[in-house]
Amino acid sequence: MTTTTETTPAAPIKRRERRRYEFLLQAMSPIAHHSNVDGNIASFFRKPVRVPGGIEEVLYLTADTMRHLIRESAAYATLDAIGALDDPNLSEAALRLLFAGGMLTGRGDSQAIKLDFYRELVDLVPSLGLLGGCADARMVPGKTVVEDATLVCEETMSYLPEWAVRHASALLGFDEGHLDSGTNYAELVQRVRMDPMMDPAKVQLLSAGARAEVEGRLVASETAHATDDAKARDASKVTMMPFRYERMVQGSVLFWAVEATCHTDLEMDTLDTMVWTAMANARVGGKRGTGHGLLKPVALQEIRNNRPFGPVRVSMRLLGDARTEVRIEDRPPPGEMFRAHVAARATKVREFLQKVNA
Amino acid sequence: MVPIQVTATLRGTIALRNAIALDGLLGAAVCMRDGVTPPMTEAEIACPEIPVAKSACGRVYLATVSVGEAELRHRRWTNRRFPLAEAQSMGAASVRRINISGGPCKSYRIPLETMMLRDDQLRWWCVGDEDAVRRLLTEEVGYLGARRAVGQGAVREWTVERCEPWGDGFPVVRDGEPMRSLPPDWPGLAPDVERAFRVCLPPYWRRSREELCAVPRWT
Repeated sequence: MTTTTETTPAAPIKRRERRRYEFLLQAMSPIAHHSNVDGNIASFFRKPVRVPGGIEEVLYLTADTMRHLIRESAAYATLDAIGALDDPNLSEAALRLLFAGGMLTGRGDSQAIKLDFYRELVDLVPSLGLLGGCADARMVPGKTVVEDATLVCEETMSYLPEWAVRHASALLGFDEGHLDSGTNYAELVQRVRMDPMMDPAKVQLLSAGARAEVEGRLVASETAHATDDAKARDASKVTMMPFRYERMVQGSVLFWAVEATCHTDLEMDTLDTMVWTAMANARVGGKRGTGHGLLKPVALQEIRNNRPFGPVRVSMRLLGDARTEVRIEDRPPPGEMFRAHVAARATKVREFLQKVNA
Repeated sequence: MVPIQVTATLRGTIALRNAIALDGLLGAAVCMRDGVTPPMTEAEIACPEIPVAKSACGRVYLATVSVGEAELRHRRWTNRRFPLAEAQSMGAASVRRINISGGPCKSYRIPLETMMLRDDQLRWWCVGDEDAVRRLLTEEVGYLGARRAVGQGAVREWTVERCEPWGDGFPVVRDGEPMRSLPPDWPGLAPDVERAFRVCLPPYWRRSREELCAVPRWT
């Protein structure tokens, strides 16, 4: 039998710091991140970028997508810390709060804003203090800025830090400081959703009545084709559907930055937890079921209070596990303080998530 | 206090709903620097000390709103989708039916107009302490306009430099046109200036203090 003791730790240490992480990410699989569909062609997100002599459109992953990625990671880290991943039992409002930031539902007492409640909210779910959200008629402002993940290419290189361009050139096999055009990183692919009724082996699996219906439709289709009857041809056509979509080619390199103004050591560790858990298994965009969207961080620049902190590197050390690629000797592994803080309030967090109105 | 021109050079697009008042921006920067918590009541609202001169009458700060011209307009969307997959795997037994076409779980796709500015620049003029203004802006203001949380309005560089005043009325009136919201009886205003209900002192979101003002035509 185990017992859980919930303690109230000492007041957090106040220490204001602006912390910014700049990542070079590499697409380990093609990425499908679509802005709209014209006909049956889905277009990749593009944004305008000023280049000498005009403005060009360049592929990018929206900041909203990247922000959702870290919010989702923070939610899973919180649930993991309170031991709720095996039996989360979340209400609709808790799901909305953790995974979509919640919303002002119009319920609750909006006339009286309880500062104690705000403090409790941020204490129980520290990521809310950084990313912001809405709960119990209270809008919690965020302190985090997440930028677009922008394709590193000839058009965008003048907007990127020098180290990022140098790394990307080396990674993509170009001379130092040279990159090719962003137009080379979009590919248009075609896929077909098959009609299983076109496969005779699968037709054999049908019941007798259904098989007769399919065979009748095939005959009707052939007859309509032979007699050039457009209406009958349309009524009896198969449901095969070719579709095309743009995707960012595998191996593309993206530049992404996230920054936050932190006021306590806990907030700094929460930021690290959100970012590093997100980067440990970052998958973005659509068509994930067919392996699209896997991102891997290949280089990192950490900036504190507008000053670069240490050399450019990549670190993937989470909660002391073995994902270390480059060792960091100067800091404890991210996530320890966050995990201990939330775990110490596990019962309260569970109660809060059950009754929250968000 | 000297005449100053402030220029923000942006890295990309900005979501600008209204022109940005320099005194309001500096006030927000001071609050961020000092860790001032948002006011909870009307009585708690106060404008902090900023390194910009006030007019002799004390009714406005001698600072303009932003001046910039859109070169290209670009539409993007803010999407929200209810976390259905998580609801299926982690929802309580009581979560049996979710209405995604209305109510709190409604999914949405809201358009947002962003713009690329000519020369990527926004400009302001003011009478103030050059070094203090530069320090505040470069240390505290990295993003401008709306949707800063998703990287809109990222500032590449702040330039704060002394300038020559354009004559009478600097910096709040130029050729008879107001360069910020001003009381209608302000000296030097042309008779046909545009008027609207605005606030004359920061914070500009304090709608209870709105009064009829002469306003710049581009706001």
